[in-house]
Amino acid sequence: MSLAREVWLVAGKDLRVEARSRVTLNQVLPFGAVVLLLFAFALDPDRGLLSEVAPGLFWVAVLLAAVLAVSRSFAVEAEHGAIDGLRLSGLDGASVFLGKTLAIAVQLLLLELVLGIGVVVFYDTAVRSVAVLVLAGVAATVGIAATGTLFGVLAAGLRTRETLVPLLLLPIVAPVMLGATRAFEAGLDGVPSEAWPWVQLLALFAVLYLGVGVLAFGSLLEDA
Amino acid sequence: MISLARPAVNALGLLTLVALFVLAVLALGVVPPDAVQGDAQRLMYVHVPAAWLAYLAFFVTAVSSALYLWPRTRQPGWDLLAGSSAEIGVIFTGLTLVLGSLWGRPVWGAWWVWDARLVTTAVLFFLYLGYLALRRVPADPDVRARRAAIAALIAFVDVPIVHFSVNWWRTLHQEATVFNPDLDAQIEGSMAWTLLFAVVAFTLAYGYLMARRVQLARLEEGREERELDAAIAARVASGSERTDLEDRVPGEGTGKGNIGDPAVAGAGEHR
Amino acid sequence: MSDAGFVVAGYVITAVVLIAYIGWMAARFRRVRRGLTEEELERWR
Repeated sequence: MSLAREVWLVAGKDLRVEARSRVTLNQVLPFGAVVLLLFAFALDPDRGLLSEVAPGLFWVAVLLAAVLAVSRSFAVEAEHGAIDGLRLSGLDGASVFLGKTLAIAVQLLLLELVLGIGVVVFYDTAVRSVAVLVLAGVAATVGIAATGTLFGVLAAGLRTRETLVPLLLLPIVAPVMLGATRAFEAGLDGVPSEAWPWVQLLALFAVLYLGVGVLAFGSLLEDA
Repeated sequence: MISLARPAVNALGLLTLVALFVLAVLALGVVPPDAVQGDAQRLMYVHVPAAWLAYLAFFVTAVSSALYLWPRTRQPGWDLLAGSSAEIGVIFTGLTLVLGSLWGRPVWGAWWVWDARLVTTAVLFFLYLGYLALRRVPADPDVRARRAAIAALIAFVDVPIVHFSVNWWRTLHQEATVFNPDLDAQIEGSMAWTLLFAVVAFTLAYGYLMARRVQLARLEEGREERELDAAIAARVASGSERTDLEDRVPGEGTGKGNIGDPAVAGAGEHR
Repeated sequence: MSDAGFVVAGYVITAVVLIAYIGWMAARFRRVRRGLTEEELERWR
């Protein structure tokens, strides 16, 4: 089987599980929306603060949701010994990694789309360049999904995985948070051309951790 | 593998103690106060070497993790070294942040400033705190070591990205207002020598702490194995059916001491 | 607090951290060497 087909097989499986269980749709997405709502309580909407800091708030909400999506992605494997099936499937570790990363990334991108519309509508933010937002969004999401999948499998099967994953994941993605927020600032209400260095940083991060995952995931999956 | 005999460790400890004492005398009594910052600048002689030591420790963690993962050099000792070094690194990163705050308050008028170096150090602190948390989760020693080594490398790859992005962020927005030029530009002779001596003294301290920590890790690992053997013997004697051995994948482990966390305390890992 | 106060605080904290860490290791050395009873093990975890 070709790599692409294997990747699609794993991603398709995860997305089918989501399509049937709708956990991301019914729980993670509303969670992200509530976070955005709470930010409005924390920062008085009348002072114009919200639209100013909207990019940061958006990415904080996405990161918190990503932690849940990663947990979900590996909780699915923990049930009924599914992870043993994955190990015995004969699929290459790299394909499993890329497949799970893809599935998480797709879910996060849909979530970002909804939350993004929410931010623009409710925080009253201008949009200068959709291209910047899309590129930065995709690069950042792939980076988050790749690191998330790595730490997901690292903590899979551990008793404290629910608390361990956020502690491991959030500091690692600090540069993503920084780069994505700067890029979104530029794309939403700033000078779009200023976003490109940050988009490059996000792409570098994503590529780097996709590489680490391709190399390391197989051995981690065996141990999980 | 680095492993010192006990007398050597004790000698190193004594040497460290003397060096740190001499450093305190030099830094607090002999060196003149800074022309601009006055006495507050004396904190440099502990803050800078603490930061150096933290970075050194994380570097050692990364190298020994890589050596553990490399099949030809795979030895449990590298894992112990990586874990011990990360622990010392986290302690000194924390110390660096505290000392930096104490220095910042009188000089900049604030406990914390969003300067690139401070932010990078803070992120580093949490990165390796997570690594230590991962290490503490009970698991099969081999599995835990491999996981920890990969996690250490994942974290280490992040360090330059964090540094670079944070630097970029702060310099795009404002000039570096905090680190006064006088600190880097002109440093008087005796100050430079004292700083160099401080770095040497802290490096000695790192060597001593590492030697002790690795010794401790070795002893504790031996204890785990002893307990495990005792627990297995007890189970067999009482004729109990259920042991943690059952749900291990056969063929994965090699030899004894490999079968998971001590079953004695019921700390075995649940899937 | 005067400048000297901050300096003294910094050096004292450094010393305390070092001593505390060495002391913590020493305590663990003693526990390991003594060999633990079941009950102590439980409490330690």
